[in-house]
Amino acid sequence: MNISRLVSRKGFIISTLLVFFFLVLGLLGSNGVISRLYIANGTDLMYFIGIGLAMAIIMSYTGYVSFGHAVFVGIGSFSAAYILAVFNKPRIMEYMAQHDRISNAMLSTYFIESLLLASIIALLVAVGVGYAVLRLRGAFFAIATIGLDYVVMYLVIYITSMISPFGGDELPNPNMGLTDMTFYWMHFILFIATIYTAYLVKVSKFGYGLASIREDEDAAEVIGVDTFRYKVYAFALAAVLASFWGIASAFRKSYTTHDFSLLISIVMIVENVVGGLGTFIGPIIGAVIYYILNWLLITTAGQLALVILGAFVVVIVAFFPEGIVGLLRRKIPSLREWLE
Amino acid sequence: MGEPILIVENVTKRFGGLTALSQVSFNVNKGERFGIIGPNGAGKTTLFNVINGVYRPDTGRVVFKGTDITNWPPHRRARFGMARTHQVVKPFSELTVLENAMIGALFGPRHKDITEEEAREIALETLDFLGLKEKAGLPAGLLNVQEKKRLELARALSSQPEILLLDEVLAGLVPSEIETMVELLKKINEEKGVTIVMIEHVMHAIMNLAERMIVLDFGRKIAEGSPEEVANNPEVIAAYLGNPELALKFVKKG
Repeated sequence: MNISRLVSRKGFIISTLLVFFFLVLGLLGSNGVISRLYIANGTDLMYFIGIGLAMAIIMSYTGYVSFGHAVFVGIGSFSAAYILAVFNKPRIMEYMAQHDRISNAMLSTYFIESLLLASIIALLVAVGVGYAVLRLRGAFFAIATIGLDYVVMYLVIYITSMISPFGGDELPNPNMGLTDMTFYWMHFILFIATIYTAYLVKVSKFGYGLASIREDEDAAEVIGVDTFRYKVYAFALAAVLASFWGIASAFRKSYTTHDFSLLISIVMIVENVVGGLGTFIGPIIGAVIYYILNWLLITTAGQLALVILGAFVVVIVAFFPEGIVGLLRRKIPSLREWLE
Repeated sequence: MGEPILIVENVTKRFGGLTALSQVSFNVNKGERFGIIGPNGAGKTTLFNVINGVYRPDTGRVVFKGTDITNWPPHRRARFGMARTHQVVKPFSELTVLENAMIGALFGPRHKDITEEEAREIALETLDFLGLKEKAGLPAGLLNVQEKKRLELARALSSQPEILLLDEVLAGLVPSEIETMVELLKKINEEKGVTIVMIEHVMHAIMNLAERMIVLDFGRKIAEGSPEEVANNPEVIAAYLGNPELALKFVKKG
């Protein structure tokens, strides 16, 4: 695709504005202009947009709901945990004995190693599983992916029970002396990677192929789209991106098992549904709404937060099945260009 | 008479105990307008599904441009120059009319080297040709039936196929629309040189359009030849006797 056309499109402009927003927020944070609370919220928000966009590639763009997608977030977490708490434990212990934080060189090495390990595992699992279950359609695919989540989760728990990364006091200081700002910038790097990848997929020939599969898979195949291969590619890409966010979460939180939770899959799905399927902007808006609502409700309604959030999702699905972006696109056609 | 571009040889297709197609053979020549007719349930759409790869035949083979494509998946056939429309239209509803046509161009025979710009050009040209250019920016789901039929055709045509399989493109259209569509199909065949194979129930249209045709009944080919020959074939008339009016029409038109 032609570069000038690519960058003049609204989706690209919105992506870049978002990246710029998080850049400014981060710079303000590192200079101490804004409090740690904003940085923590910014980090969370990037995480929620990130996992929403990862899911979007298979769900929103291609039309396949991966109910077990948290498995890939979990794979990312565990890759990071193994890189830190198993493969590099002695070196970290040794270094931390003399310093209050690991060096930047060590940090970037472990980060990159985690990305590589997670990508490889996520890719292998996604392609393997994709070949088996992407022949299924609709609900059958969704159910198969739930099964996948449980299989991999218990497999990992089984392996972990023997090696136990992050299980107890594996590292002298699980944070390795890193600050909120370090985690923020880590998320920022992944955010840039995720948002532009999702955008490029959406507007590329690959994206057209995925859209045709979502709209009518039989017609797509008849028109010349290699539907099966495209679905496997989309699933694998969605898996790798999700695993990246598992890494970010593991570095930041120093615990990993909850990343396999079905709840994470559901958050990813809800963001896509609330925002609106089929668009690039939909999952981003869905993630922002989900995040703000979740935050407001948890701080005001406590235990009831999830009940209210659940009810909100029911209302959206029942009355606006096309999601918020879909609704806006239908009601205000002049906004279509912006809500691509 | 030209070279055969499509050869269907002894094709049999069974679904459980039902034999949908039984030993069907015929050739379609390059540049020809070829018709497939027959009463409801005769196996016409099944035959299309075998030709374009949605179904694999139990026996027999399909040869396209001299290559045996019997075991190819549909997308590979599309890339080899075969396009098809569906009896029940299958637009990509959420995408615009232009995007629908562009997808046809992007994934067709030129899928390897075509740029998005070229695909857009071809799509616009095709939409213009089929009178859909003003609708280019609309979501395909908003089109009316007749426009959706033309979009189905536009998407297939944008891939710049060598052969076009048309499954009842005239069904559901009012007489004036049928006339327009028949003219369009003639233009596609004559100006663009696309070989056309069509299933049709609108008898006067296909009798006028097709140069040769076959007649299917209960999965068997019962006749082959020019429209006149077919219409005067006693077996064909018998097959349609369930609908005497139609049988009468046949004889008259022939």
